[in-house]
Amino acid sequence: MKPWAYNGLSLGMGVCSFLAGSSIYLCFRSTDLPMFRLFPHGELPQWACRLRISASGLNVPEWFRFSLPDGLWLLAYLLIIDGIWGSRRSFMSLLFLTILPIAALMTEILQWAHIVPGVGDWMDMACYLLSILIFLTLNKLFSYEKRR
Amino acid sequence: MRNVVKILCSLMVLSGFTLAALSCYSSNSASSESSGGYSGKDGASLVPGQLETEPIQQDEKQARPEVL
Repeated sequence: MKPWAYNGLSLGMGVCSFLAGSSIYLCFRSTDLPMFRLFPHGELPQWACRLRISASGLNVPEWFRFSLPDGLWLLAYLLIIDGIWGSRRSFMSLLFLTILPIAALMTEILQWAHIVPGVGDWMDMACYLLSILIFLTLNKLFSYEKRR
Repeated sequence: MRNVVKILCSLMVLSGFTLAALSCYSSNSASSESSGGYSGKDGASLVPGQLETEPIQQDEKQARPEVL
C-alpha cells in the first residue's frame, strides 16, 4: 500500500472509530456528563434527542455502554496519530502512539489500587487492550514500510 | 519543518482526546453513573429537560411532542 493511501485509510478509520464511540456516548450515557455541556446553551439539539429516544428502546449490555466507547476512542487516537505520522516509525511517532494507551491503562490500574478516584473496571481494561491489539493488527496488515 | 507540523497536529489530537476523556471522567464507571440517576432500560433520564422520575411514555407519538 502506498504511503498516502495508508495515511488516508488510517485517518478515515480513526474518524469512523471516533464517531462510533461518540454516538454511543450520545445515545446511551447520562446527560449529566460534562461533555454534554459543550452543546449550545447546554442542551442537546433536536436530532440528538430523537437519536436518544430511538436508542432508549434498545437494551444494550453495560460493557457496550460504558467500556466500548472508551476503547473506540483509544483506537481512534492510535489510528489518527498513525495517519499523521505514517507507518515509518520514529521516536516522536512512538512517543505519541504510546502516551495515551499507557495513560489509559495506568489510570485503570491506579483506580484498582484506589490511588486515583474512580472504580477500576476489568472490562475497560479489556477494551483498551483490544483496541491496541486491533491497531497493531491493522498496522501489520497495511503497513507499507515492511514491503520496501 | 514537516516534522514540526506533524508534532503540532499530534499535540492537538492528543489534547483533544485528553479533554474528551476528562469530560467523560466524572462518572465514567457503571456504578457511579447508574447511581447518579441513569436508567437505560426505561430511558427516563435519557432525555434532557425531563424529570428523572418521569418515565417516557410507551406511546412515542404522545411522548415526543412533549420532549421536543
